[in-house]
Amino acid sequence: MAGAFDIVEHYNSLLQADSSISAPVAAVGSLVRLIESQKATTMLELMMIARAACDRLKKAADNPISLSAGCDVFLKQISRLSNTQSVEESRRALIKSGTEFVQGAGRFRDRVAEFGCPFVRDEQTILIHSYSRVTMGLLARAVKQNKRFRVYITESRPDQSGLRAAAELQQLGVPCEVILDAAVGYIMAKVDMVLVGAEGVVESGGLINKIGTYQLAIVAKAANKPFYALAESYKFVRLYPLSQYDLPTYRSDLLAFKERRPADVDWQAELAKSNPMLDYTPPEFITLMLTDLGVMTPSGVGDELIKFYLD
Amino acid sequence: MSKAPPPPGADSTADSAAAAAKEKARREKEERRRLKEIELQMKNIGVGGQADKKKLSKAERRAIQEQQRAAKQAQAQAAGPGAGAGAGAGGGSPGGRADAGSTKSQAGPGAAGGSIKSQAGPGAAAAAAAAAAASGRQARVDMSKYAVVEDKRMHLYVHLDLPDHPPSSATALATEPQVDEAAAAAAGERRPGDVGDFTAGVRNAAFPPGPQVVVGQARDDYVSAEAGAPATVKVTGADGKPAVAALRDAVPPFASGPGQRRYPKAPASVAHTPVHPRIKEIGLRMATMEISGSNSRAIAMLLAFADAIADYTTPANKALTSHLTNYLSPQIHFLTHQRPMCIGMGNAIRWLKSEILDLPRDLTDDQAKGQLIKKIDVYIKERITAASDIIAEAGAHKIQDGDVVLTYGASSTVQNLLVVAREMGRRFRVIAVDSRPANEGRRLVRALVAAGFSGEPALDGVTYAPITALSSLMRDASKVLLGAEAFFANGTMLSRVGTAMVALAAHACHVPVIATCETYKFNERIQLDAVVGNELAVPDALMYKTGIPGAEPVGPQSDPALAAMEYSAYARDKYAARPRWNNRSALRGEPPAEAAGPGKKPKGAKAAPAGEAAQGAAALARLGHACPLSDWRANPRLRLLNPTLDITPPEFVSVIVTELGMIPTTSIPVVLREYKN
Repeated sequence: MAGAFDIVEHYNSLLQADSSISAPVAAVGSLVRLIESQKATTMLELMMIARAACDRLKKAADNPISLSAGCDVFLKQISRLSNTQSVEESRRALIKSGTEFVQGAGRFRDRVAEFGCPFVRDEQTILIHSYSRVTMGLLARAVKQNKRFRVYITESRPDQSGLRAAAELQQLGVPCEVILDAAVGYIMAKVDMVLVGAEGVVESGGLINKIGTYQLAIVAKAANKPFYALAESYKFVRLYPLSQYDLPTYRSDLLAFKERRPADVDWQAELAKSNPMLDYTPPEFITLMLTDLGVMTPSGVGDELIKFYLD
Repeated sequence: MSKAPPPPGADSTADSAAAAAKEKARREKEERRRLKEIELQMKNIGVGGQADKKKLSKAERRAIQEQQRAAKQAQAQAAGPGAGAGAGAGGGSPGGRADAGSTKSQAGPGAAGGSIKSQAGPGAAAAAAAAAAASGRQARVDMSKYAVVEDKRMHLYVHLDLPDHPPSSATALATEPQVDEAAAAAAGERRPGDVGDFTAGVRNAAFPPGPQVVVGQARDDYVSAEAGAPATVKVTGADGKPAVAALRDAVPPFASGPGQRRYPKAPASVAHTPVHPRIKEIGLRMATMEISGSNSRAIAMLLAFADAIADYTTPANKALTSHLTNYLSPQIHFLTHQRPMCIGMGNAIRWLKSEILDLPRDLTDDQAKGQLIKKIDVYIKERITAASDIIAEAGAHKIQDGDVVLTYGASSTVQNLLVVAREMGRRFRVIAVDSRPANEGRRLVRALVAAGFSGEPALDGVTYAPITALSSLMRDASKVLLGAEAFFANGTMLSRVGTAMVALAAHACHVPVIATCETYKFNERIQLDAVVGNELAVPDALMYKTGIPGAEPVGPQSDPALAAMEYSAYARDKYAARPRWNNRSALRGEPPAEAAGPGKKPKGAKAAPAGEAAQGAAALARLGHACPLSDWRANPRLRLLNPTLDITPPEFVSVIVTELGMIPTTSIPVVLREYKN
C-alpha cells in the first residue's frame, strides 16, 4: 500500500506546491487522498488506516503540533460519520467534507482578518513576531481599508523569518522596522499592541508558536499592552501543556549541557541545532484570541474544543 | 501505646527483651499480611459474595489464635498494671482493657473486638472483622459487626486501613472477606481499564424482611432494636477520665460546642418510614468514617439504593415513577442524618431521581426496577470507576521522568494515577504531604510503597511530610497533584481541608497544579468561601495527636508500615535513606524536660526506626496525654473547630484531569452544559 500512495510524500508535496497552505490543511488533504485510494470494507478498517497514517505523518514531520490538529479533526469526523451511515456512504461523505475543507481553507484566514481588522486603528504602532500568514492577511486587509499604521517586526532568529515579513509589508507600503529579538523590551513602550500568529492553540487557551512569543507576551503583560493571538480554528489542538517542557516537540537534548571539546565548538552552528523552535505561551498572557469563529477569550478556546470533541 | 509488649519499665530483663523482639517480628508479619488482605479487599469490591470453605477455615483459625493471644496478653497486663506500658491513656486503664479482653474472649465474635482494645494491633482489627463476618453468616444483622465498627473507630485515625468499599450487598456482608494469596498476587497486576465487577454488587437479591428502623428515633434505638444494648465506645470525659459513651455521642457529626449536637430533625413527612437495612448499614459505616472518600461513598450509596430499589414494591393505586422517589427520600434523609452528603452523592441522587421520573409509564414494576438497577450499574462504571481509570491513564502521561510530584492527603484517583504512571515506567519521586488530625496521607504512602515506590529515594521514593513543611518542600516539587471533592461552576475546587494551602504555595512557586476530578462531581453551584456548607468533624479530634480520644500517639510506633518505611530526614540529607531522631533520649529513657510539662507534646514522636518503636511507645506512654484542651467542653467560651473541607480559587489550579480530557477551570460550565444535553 505504501508503494501505491505515500502519505508523507503527498503531504510534503502539498506544502511545497502552495506556500499559503498550512500544515493542518495539508494533513487533511493528504488523508482525503489516502481514503480515496483505499478500499476499506469496514468502518473500523477505515479508522485504523487513518490512524496509522496520522501516526506516520506526525512522526515524519519535524513539527507535529499544528499537523496533529488536522489529524484530530479528520479522525473525529470519521467517528462521527460512522455512527450514522454505511461504510461506502460515510467514505464518500468523508471525502466530500474533507475536500471542501481543503478548498475552503483560505476562507478561514479571511474570516480571521475580518474579525481582527477592527482592532487595527489609524496611527497605531503594532509589534509582530516572526512571519505568520494569518497576521499578514489581517494587516493586508487593514491596508486595503486605508488604515495607516506602523509595524515593528522581530527578526526572529534563527531562521530570520521576520525579514520576510518586513519585505512583504514594505511591498504593501506599510512603514516597518525590523528589531532584534533582544530589543523587545526596549521597544515595548512605543507599541500599541502585539499581534502574533499561532502554530497551535491548546486546550488551556494558551498558544504554541515560534520561539520568542512567550517572552514577547511577558514583556507585553508587564507593559500593559494588549497581546492578541490570531488563529484559524483548525489550529485548535487537543494538548494541555503544563510548562515549556511539556510539548510534543520537547527533546531532552535541547539546551542541555553537553560535553564539548573547547577547540571544536562552533557556537554559531550550535545555536540553531540545540535551540527549540517553539515555545508555549500560557493563557494568562493573552488578551484575546482572534479566530474565524469570532473574537474570544483564551478560555473560550478550551470551551470550543470541549464542545467539538464532546458530542 | 498498649501495643508495647510487656513493659520495659524499671527492671526489664533479657527475657522480656527477647520476648519483645519476638512479639515485634510477629506483629510485623501480621501487618504485612493485613496490608495484602486489605489491598485484596479493595480490589474485590463487589465480588465478596462467594464463600470458600478453605479460606473460611483459615480466617477462623486466625481469629481463634488472635483471641488466645489477646487473652494471654490481657492476663499479662492484669498481672502488672502499674508497670507503665498503658498508663495515663485517655481511653481506659490497662486493667479495664485487660478485663474487656479476657471476659469477652469467651464470647465468640465479641472477643475479636475485645482483643483489639487490649492489643490495639491493626492486624487484630482485620482478623476481628473476618471473625465477625464469619460468625455473622447465620444472623443477617449481627451485633458483632457493630462491636467491630466501634473498635475500628477507636483507631480510625491511627492506623486502621479499612476497605474503602463495602461488600457488594447485605448478603455479601454476612460472608467473610476473601483472603487468598494467589488472588492477591493476581490483583496486583492492575489492568488499565479494569473497572471492577459491579454487576455482582447490583444484584436483584430479595432481602428477607430485616428489622425496621424508623427515622426520627435516636441512633441508639436503631442499634438496640437489633441487639438489645446500645453500641458504646470509650471516650474521655470532661474530667479527663475515661468514660463510656453511646456510639451516638462519640460520633457527633455536627458537634460544635459544649453539649451541642445539631442532629437534623427528621421532617414529619419521613418519620416512621422504614429504612432499608443496607442503607442503615452504609449510613453507620459512613458516620464512623469507615467508608470515606467521595468516590467510595457515592458508590456505596448507589449500590445500597440498588438493593433498596430491588426490594421495593409499588403500593396499590400508586405509580412507581412517582412513589419510588417518596420511598427513597427517607433513605436519603437517613444517610444525611448520619453524615452530610458530599457533592458527588448529591449529584448521583439528583441523577437517580431524574432517571426515575424518565421511566416509561407502561413498565411493570420488575421491568422498571431492573432498568433502574442497570442504570445505576452503568452510572457507577461510567461516571465513577471507569472515569477514575481514564483519569489515571490520561494524567499519568503528564508525569515525566525525573518529576517530583507533591500530593496532599489521600485521593483514590491520585493514587491510581501515580501507580499507573509508575507502571508505565516513569521514574519520579513523590512527596506525600499530610496533616493531622486525619492523617489520611499515610494510607496513600502505604499504598504507594506497596506499589513499588520504595526504590532509590532520590529517584522514585516517597517522602512523607507534615503540611507545616510545605514551603520548603514546594521548592523541590515539579508538579502538584490534588484530588478534588468537587468543582463548582466558577472553577472553585472543593477539597480536603489544607488543599487550598498547598495550591497557594504551588502557585507562589510557579509549580503547576494538576487536579483530578470525575465530572460527576462537577456542581452547578458557586461557592465563595469555605465556611458555607462545610462539614465539621469531631472537635475532640483536635485535642489528641491521633484525633481520637484515648487512642494511641501518632507515629510509626503505632504504625509498623510507616516504621518500616524509610524516612526522609532533611536535617542530614534531603534524600536520607535512614531515619534520624531529633531527640533520641526522649524515647529511650527519661522524658526530656520540655516535653514533660503538661501541654507539651512529646518530641520526636514523628518518626521512629522500627527497632526503637517499642521503647518509643513506652516513653510516650510515660509522658502521658495531658492536653490543655481536654476540658474544653467545660469552658463555654472555648470552641474547637475541625472543618473537613476548604475551597481553592480557580487561578491556583492549572488543569483539571477529567474523563473527558484535560480542561481548564474556566471550562467547567461548558462541561455542565454539554453533559446535560
